[in-house]
Amino acid sequence: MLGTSLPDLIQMQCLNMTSRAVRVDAESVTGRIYFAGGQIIHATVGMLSGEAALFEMLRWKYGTFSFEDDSSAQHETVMRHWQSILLEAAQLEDETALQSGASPYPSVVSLPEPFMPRNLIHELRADPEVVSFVQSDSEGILLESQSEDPENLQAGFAYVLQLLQLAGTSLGAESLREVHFQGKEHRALCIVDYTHTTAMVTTPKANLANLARKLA
Amino acid sequence: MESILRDLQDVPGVIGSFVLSSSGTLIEKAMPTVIGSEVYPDLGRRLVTALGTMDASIAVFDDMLVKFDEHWLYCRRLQNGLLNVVSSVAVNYPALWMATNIASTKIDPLIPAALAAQVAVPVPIAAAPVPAAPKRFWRGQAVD
Repeated sequence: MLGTSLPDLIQMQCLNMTSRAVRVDAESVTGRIYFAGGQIIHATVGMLSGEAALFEMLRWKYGTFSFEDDSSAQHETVMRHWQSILLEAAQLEDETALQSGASPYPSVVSLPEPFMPRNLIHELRADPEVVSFVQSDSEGILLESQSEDPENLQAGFAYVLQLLQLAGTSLGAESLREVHFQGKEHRALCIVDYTHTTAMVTTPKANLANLARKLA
Repeated sequence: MESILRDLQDVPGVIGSFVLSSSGTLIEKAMPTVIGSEVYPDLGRRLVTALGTMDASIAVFDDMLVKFDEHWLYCRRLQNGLLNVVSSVAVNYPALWMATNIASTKIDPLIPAALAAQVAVPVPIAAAPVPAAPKRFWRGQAVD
């Protein structure tokens, strides 16, 4: 995962609700972060465990990651929400940089990559189970589509997502991430990212969980 | 019906559930008390409208699973309404699906009667007071 930062990787694992361990190797040190159900539940590096281990790994500038799908945590040492931990780690990094006189921000700001890589778009287009799809940005601008009437498809999903977010808010739920619809003749899937929304209609044979995992 | 909804909480991760009529009226609930009753009229209307919008503009679906950061809302369409289950993300989805299958068959036939019972018995309206006859005045003095 060249170019991916550890906070990004953590965010991806949590938003994808993965349950696995991520091995982080930096020079001669190896750490592990354990995820379950969209949360970090345990972390170890050397003699450290829990949040201390996480903050240690989040300080590392370079490293490589690998996934260990068969590993499971022996203990639960991290109780805090992952977003709170990442926020605190970022603040600590800023403070450290200010104390050392360096700018906390990289000298060259790289532009974000497109939300969905081209090959995934091609994959969606080629997938016989995907009947139609639309992808739009947070302002509702249509970016990609495969549909006879993409505007109508996008508008339908956009309104439904607004209603469901409001329904969730009234129940005290958080941000909407995914919606899976199942019917006898069709299935549908919406994935809401911070900046993009991807929605698709599929045949009833499509595995929505697999599609969501691929796209998120 | 409430006991059927309470049974759904045997599935680990289920927080509560509620049943709506086809028009979004709350029929029954077994939800945490922190969610006040004032929430359900808007909630019901929005969920029913969301499914109705999908029917009209995309396709007809029997159920929807709405995933939030830490909670899921599973809505299953019944013949007479909508069964909704709120859970944590840790819920065992196949177990939830099976539990709602069983609950649906029990709840669906009970909805029409429960909805009919909700129709308020008309309260007799007290007759409005007869307006007093306008007073008549003669040179600034009231006269009968």
